[in-house]
Amino acid sequence: MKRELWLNVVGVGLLVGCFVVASVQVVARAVRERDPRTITIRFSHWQLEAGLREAFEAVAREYERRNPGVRVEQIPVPGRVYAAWIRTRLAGEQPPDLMELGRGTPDEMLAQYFVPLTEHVERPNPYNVGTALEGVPWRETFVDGLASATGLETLQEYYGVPAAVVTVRMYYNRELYREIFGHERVPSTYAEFQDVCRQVREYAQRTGRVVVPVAGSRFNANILLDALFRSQTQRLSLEIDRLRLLKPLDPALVFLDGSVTLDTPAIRDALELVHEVGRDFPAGFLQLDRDDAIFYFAQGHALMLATGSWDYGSVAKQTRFSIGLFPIPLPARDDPRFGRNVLGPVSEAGQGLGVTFHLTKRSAHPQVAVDFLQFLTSRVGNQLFCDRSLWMPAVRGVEPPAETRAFAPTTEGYPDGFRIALWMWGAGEMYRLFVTHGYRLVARDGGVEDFLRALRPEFDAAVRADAERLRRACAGNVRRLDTAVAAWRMLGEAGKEAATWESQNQQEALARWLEVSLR
Amino acid sequence: MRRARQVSLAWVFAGGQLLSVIGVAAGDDLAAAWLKAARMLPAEAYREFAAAAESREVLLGRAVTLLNVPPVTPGNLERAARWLESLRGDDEVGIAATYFLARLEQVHRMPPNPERALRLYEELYHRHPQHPLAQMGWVKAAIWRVYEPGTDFAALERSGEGLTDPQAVRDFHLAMADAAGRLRLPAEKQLEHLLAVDRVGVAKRKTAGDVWVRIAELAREAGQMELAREYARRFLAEFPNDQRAHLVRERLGR
Repeated sequence: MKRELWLNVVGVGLLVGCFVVASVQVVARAVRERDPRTITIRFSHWQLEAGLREAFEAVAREYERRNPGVRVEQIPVPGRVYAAWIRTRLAGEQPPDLMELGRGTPDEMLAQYFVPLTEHVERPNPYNVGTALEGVPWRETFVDGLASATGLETLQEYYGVPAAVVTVRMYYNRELYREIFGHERVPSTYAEFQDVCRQVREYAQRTGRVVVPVAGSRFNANILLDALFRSQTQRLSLEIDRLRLLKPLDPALVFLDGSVTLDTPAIRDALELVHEVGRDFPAGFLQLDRDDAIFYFAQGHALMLATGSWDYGSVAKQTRFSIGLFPIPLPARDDPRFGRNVLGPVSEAGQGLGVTFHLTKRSAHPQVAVDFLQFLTSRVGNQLFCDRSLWMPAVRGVEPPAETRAFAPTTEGYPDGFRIALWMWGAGEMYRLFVTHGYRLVARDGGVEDFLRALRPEFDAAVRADAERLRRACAGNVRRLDTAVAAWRMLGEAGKEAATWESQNQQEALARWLEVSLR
Repeated sequence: MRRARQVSLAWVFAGGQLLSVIGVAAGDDLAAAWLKAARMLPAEAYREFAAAAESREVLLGRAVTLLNVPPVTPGNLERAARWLESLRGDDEVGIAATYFLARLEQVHRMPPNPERALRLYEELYHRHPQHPLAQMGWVKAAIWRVYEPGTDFAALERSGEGLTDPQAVRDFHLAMADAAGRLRLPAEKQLEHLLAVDRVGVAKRKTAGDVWVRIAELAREAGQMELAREYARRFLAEFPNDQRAHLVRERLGR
């Protein structure tokens, strides 16, 4: 009885305590916001990886130090709920001043809730005064010159600026590597990688130690297998590149006219490669999550892990061994089985820009928010961000941290081949088929034939469905741009009118070609 | 320093506000509505046009925004078509009305009526052969026709020779170059049209990069190495950080 009473008292006490703490926080925030001497700006993001929040915090504190009277707060939101969260905040007219948005953000959302930054990006970033970027338009200080900016193609405006670049690498356990091999000469080609994997399996068998070559999960396996698959479509991409753009095609276009089929040698080689590497992951890896793979690697049960620069802080925090990094080992041109499809190492130039922030229309202090963005993406601000987060810089001339220099984008390389999304980063009918039957490709008793047998009956229909989906998307853009082009014309904005015609006509031609091809 | 910076940023924002205010003060009270339409906010723009005093420009604004006000319905499209039909004529608004009526028939109407659209484009071109919208209508018709089985590509090419408006010339040749590639016509055709595009100049930086890479590649294949090198050099100078730069350099730039 007495024990129960005490438990109740403790319970009520905790409840009251939480209420008091929460109330103090709410009141303190309200008081702060009412203080006319302080301007508060907030930015939201989904980067919960280790080190990121600390990096943003460091940049915010430095900005506040340089700008007395301004307070900067970050709102980290888990990636799984971020999309719903931003929609709720935007619809409720209570968004933060700056929001991180992904590549697939619809034009309508950008137009309705965000402010174009075009005027700003064409002027120099004031925080670059005294550096080599002094006087350079803000746009040109980014490693890709903002060529891939969200909304640029259709809205003809710059809406966001990136703070980082991401690349993917193989992580490895340096101590374990030395223990197994007696050296640290990492594989640079697929053949060497396979040799390393074979020796790891032998080592595990010989010593009875639980260790596999590569930590696996649907997410991490996809990173490695996607890169290997695309190595096999590099040459094919150029062969079928009728417009000579030297860029990979959308997979629906690759298969549409029948000149490339599931039996094209490069496609079969790509699938064979995926099947072969499937053995190097732990059994059942498709059921595992990204965190499981990192945990497995951190426990020393896997020699290697394929993941991106975004995970470096998290992995380093969880491991007691030192981590080494090397590029994903693709087949060399002289590889007897897979070399015939390869052009060479893949260029990462101008790729992978992310952590892109956008200014919301509801921002009460848009000039301060833009000023903060300029600081974050200045030489000094981006250096501070990268030094603390261990991420790669999005700004020209910012030095990557020494510890993670191996993530610096490779610029001496060739265009990637086209991908067929196997387990992630895809959409549409072909993707649905691959996700449904992909397990056959990597199952111990499966293989390429088994996978293709399951795929064939539905494949052509899936290709046509995806081509139709692409046609509809282009046609939708064409219709929307009719209104935009009329408006730019009436406003006398000749440059924007010209750019809109150009975008519209290119999409209209593709939509029309698809319409005729799909008859 | 900080104050000066924030003052300059404030001027940029204030400038934007001021421009729209000037527009209103100068009697151009439709500028704000057109800006919303340009920024793909058709519903908001339509509301402003609907509230404005009726004029030919206002009716045009209502019609072209209604084409994209969600949900797009046959009833709304019919209403837009009626407005456009009533506006057709030989002044700027009248010419725009005929052009957008053709667009409505070609890509907005459910189901589309491309035959009527083609007739309207032709009528517009014959009445106002020098007008940019009439010439763009001709380009739209060419894009529609070129992929139609049985179309005489050479005849279509000749039909574009009368185009003079730089935007129409550019988009006509760009469309013909793409079609030559997709229809697997001889590579020289594609090259010829892309060179014509480059002569008139493109509007977007991204398109410039693509056009230069394509010319370099096609010229290389045709054995025109000087031409190939010239365009490779232009591409590399402007886009050193492009994923294609190394390949272009390796093939032609050295």
